[in-house]
Amino acid sequence: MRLSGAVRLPEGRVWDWLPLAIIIALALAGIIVAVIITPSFLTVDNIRAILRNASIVGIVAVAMTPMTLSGNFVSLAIGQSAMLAMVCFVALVGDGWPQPLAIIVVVAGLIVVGVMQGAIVATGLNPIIITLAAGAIIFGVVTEITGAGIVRTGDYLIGWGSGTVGGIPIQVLIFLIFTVVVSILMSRTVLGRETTLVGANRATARISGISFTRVTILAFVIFSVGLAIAGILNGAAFNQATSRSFPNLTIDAIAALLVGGTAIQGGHGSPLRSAGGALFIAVISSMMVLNDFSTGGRLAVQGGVVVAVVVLLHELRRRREVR
Amino acid sequence: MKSLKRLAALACAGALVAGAWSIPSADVKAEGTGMLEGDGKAMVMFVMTASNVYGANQIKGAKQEAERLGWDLTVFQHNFSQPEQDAQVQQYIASGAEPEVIIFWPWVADAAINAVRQLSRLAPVIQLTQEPNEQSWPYVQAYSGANQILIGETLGHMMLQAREAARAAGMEFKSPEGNLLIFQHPEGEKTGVERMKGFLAVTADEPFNIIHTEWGPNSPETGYQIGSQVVPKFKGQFDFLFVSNQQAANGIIRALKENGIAPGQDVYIVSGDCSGSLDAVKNGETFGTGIQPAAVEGALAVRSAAKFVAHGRIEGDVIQLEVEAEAPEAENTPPAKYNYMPHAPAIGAEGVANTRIWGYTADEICASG
Repeated sequence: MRLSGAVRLPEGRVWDWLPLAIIIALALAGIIVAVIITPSFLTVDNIRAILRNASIVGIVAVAMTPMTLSGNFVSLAIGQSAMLAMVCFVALVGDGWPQPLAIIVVVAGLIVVGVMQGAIVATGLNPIIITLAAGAIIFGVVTEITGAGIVRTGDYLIGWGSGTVGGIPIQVLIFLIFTVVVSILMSRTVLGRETTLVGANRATARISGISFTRVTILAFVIFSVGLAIAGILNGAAFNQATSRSFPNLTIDAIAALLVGGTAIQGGHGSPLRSAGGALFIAVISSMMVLNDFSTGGRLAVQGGVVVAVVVLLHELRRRREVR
Repeated sequence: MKSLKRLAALACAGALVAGAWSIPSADVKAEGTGMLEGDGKAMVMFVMTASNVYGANQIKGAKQEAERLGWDLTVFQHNFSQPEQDAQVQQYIASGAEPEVIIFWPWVADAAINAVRQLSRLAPVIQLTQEPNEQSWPYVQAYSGANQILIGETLGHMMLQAREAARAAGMEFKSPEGNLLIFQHPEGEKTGVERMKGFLAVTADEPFNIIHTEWGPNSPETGYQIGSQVVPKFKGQFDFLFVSNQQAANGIIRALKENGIAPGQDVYIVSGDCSGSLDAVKNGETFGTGIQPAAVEGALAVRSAAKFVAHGRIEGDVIQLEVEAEAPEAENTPPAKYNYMPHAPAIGAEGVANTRIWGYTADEICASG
């Protein structure tokens, strides 16, 4: 892996940290409000629950960031692809496969599915339509194969899914590690900088000799690894899966990515911000659950917060560009 | 002149709307055909998708029964969407089809009234799973499906047994009759409201102390997502959990364990219906669940429809079918206004193993598509 600063990023220093600072400030404000109105908010159990809830969405949002940064918008096959990983992992383990082998097969399989989508998108076709179609195909095929039934690990129960390492839940730990790895990949390597440049200005990137095809496929590979991890983690935690698993993941992950300040058209954003977005939404969600908000009320507030933050970040970005 | 034209247009539109609403439903042949067998005649069914365990089983049961009785059954599935179902109804009507009878499960009862009204002009409508309301009854001949009050009562009986088991195990309750935390269907959903009525009626003499009702979880993921936040809030305050279905319970169990609470020891869980993996019932983490056989519901709907065609009328208010290991012969009698499917409790591994309804085991009913 080459480390380079040769490609100039289209971002100024302020824009580098301002969106993340806004997310952190909003999260802190949310936490302060939550603590004031919710006595049980700052308990260890609740903080652990927030982190756990943010983990799966966070991993996927972080994994999708390179794709969005590269100007390929977002995937609409998130839930279905993670479901595919979960169903395959549970099925393989239930069939007696050693877990490490099952993990390798699932990650490899998801990468193949991702590369196929990436290769098609790289030819210039609309990523929204391609991923939407891919999601429908994956859902349909898995539903037909499983007969809409529940796939279980049966006698081969996976014990580590809800486990902790040093008191930290496994999925939180993996979320942390994955965020650090993808962040380094995006900010300290040629690939990362090329990805951002392709998203910021595809024509310039092409003139500079950067291959859109290569960048797109690599972005889909990173995305697929994240989806595979999410599926495996949930499979290990529940020991069962259906084609209806991950019902809300697509919307939740896109919301986390946008709240994190990643520009949907590409060129601006970072995996760290997406992770912050996932955490912020989890904090808001927890606060509402603990204060007995109705399901409708929770969705309305969550949607409102997403819109408000996205508008705020968009306005900041616009003013910066005008200047 | 302009306003006169406008007035005329309004009058025409009003007349059209009034006319459309006043068109009577299909003429019901009061005589009936006299036989349950369809001889290849068309029966149509509008239901939710078979990509869901419950939907898959319901359709499977309906198809098997239709084949047995010689009906040509066509099934339209929607993906949990009333607008999609409305579109299917419109397309079906526009196709010029002439079914003998229609089985209709409205996804959103209030929003589906126009669809059921239009269908009723084609053929008699038997409503499935969701009981008709005041607005839809004029267009529906009979209801066939789950008895939500009975499901709530069954849940209540299991909860009372759970309390006895907990007492026998030496568990100390947080209040004299035990504190209960409820994870209910989405707020306002009729299914949850009816089940709660049944539950409260059965436990009225020794009511549980309900400390909180949380709405909405219906899958392991949403069960965990909501449970992982609600459980820490009420940790140490509840003895029993009432969960809408076993799918959601499976997610809440994970949240309980992550918070150091042992299901089956520190807290007793009962779920309303079994849609989902029964592993937690078998290993004792869930005390008991209600076995709601979707395949039987589908088969019963076909029988009710065939009976209506055979007799052209309903007879009596309620037929509540009892739990039978093998499917009883279909009787050539008119259906009742309400035709309720059987529903059985299953407590522990033994309860799951011993439950068999109309030839289906508990695992086949709950977890297989």
